[in-house]
Amino acid sequence: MNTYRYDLWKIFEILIKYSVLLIMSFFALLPLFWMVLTSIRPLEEVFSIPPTPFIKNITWENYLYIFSDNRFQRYFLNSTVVSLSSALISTLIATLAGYGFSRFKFKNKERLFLSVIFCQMIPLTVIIMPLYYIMEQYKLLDTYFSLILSYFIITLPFSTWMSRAAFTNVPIELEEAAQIDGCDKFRSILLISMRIAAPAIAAIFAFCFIEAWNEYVLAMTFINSTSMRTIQIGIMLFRGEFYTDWGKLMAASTIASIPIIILFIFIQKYFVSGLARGAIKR
Amino acid sequence: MSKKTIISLLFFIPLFISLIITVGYPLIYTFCLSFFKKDVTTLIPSFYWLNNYIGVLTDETFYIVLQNTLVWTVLNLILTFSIGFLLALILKDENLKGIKIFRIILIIPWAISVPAYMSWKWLMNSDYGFFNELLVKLRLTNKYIPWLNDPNLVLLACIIGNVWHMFPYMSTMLLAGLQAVPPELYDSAEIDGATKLKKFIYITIPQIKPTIFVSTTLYLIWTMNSFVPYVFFPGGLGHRAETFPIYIYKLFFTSFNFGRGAAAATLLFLINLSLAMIYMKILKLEW
Repeated sequence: MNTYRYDLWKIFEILIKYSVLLIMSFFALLPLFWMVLTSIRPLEEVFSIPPTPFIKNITWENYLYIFSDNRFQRYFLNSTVVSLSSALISTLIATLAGYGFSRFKFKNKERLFLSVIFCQMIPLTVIIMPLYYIMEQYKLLDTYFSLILSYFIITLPFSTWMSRAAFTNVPIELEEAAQIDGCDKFRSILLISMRIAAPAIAAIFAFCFIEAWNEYVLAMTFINSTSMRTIQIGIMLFRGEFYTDWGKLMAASTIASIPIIILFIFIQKYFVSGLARGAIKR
Repeated sequence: MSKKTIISLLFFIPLFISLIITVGYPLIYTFCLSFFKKDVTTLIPSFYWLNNYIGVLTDETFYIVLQNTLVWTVLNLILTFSIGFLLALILKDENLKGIKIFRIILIIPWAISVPAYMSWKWLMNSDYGFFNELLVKLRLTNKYIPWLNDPNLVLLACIIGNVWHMFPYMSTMLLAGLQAVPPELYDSAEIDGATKLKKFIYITIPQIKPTIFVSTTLYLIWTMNSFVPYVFFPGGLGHRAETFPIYIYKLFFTSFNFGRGAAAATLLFLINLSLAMIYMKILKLEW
């Protein structure tokens, strides 16, 4: 009798858990589902009353428009150039510093590391005005470089943290053994530590890329001309001539989201363990 | 300096130069600027004592904005934390079939921001919004809610968007915390005949308390400085969807009152600094 009641309770618990999971998954996917749906519908279906998720006709018109529109081509190009170069440089800087933080011993190392972490907590609004002056002074406004430089703020602290953790996981004995075998210091770092930490470094690169791709506050501040806009700003300020053309807007949004979601799913394991490591223990 | 020191320095120089240019120098600049009168009418900034701060503190909109920021931060925290915690508890259950797939699905919103906010705006449209249609179908309301037009609801609309984007962060952090609880603790409690609720109160909560504190403090900092309401309503809607960072941003780039903007920014920085101090304290990262 007792076990029977226990089983019923167990089944009830599992049912509750699955319903919460399903409801939340629905909530999580709703905007994405609706985005894709809107983007492949003909105009009259987009503006149907009442809105319905059942689709009658599929059209690729919106995607053809976005791909052939030279504004959007330009936005995607801008975003790609900025995100790739900023991710590349950030990863390089963070890998170097992370290696240094994990390997070298010197006074005030922890304090120095903390000040790097601290930079992550400084609000963008506090530093944005002086940055604007700097950009203005060196004629950097409206250039890729202004964004590549300013994206350091959002990418460097966390990626330094991640790369320090990655190198701490590589036993220094491996490097020392390589040096005994006749490797010089530089080659032992490159061949042993870098190779073992490579997946983590790839994750750092992806993290920086995603952060840069998704950034919009700095991009809307330092970029004035339409042709230099990144895709986020392009989407944010998209207006039709008489009304917002949601089909086209959602097509652009879909193109801007899908690669990022796929990349994110691939790296989330590293990314999460990096964040969690900081939260749970030192 | 020995050759070794110089080589070690080379590892750090790029990082510190970048951070000094992009964070350190601007931070000091803002702080100094907050004591000067500088706007579109002044060519040469003049020392202004604390007048910028007085200007901010006697501005009526500042208090509306402060109230918005409070509502924005607290509601976001409550919603994100409850959803995140509930999900973390469920996602921890390895025995559930398909739990790995749910873990991936439920992290996706974290990956995208602006495109998804646009989609939310479209979903909440007062004539064609599917979100409204859904609420009506579920009998939660009997007519469409003008999320984006009713001044009393606009901030709530932004909060829904932000909770959607951030709940995966909370659930992931708390899940990692739950997974780090040593299973032996539960086993020995089981032998002592502890109920589920007792195990939750006396083992789970104390064990993940540090994780809870750290993830909520970080979340508070991010949320308070968020520009999400600006993405939803770049036009502004009066001041109904304006939070502290947006108020500062507008002082800089719309009213061109740089001195006062810097003063407001310094105030925001001080609030953040105290939160960051708590964060570092919890992590036991002493200076």
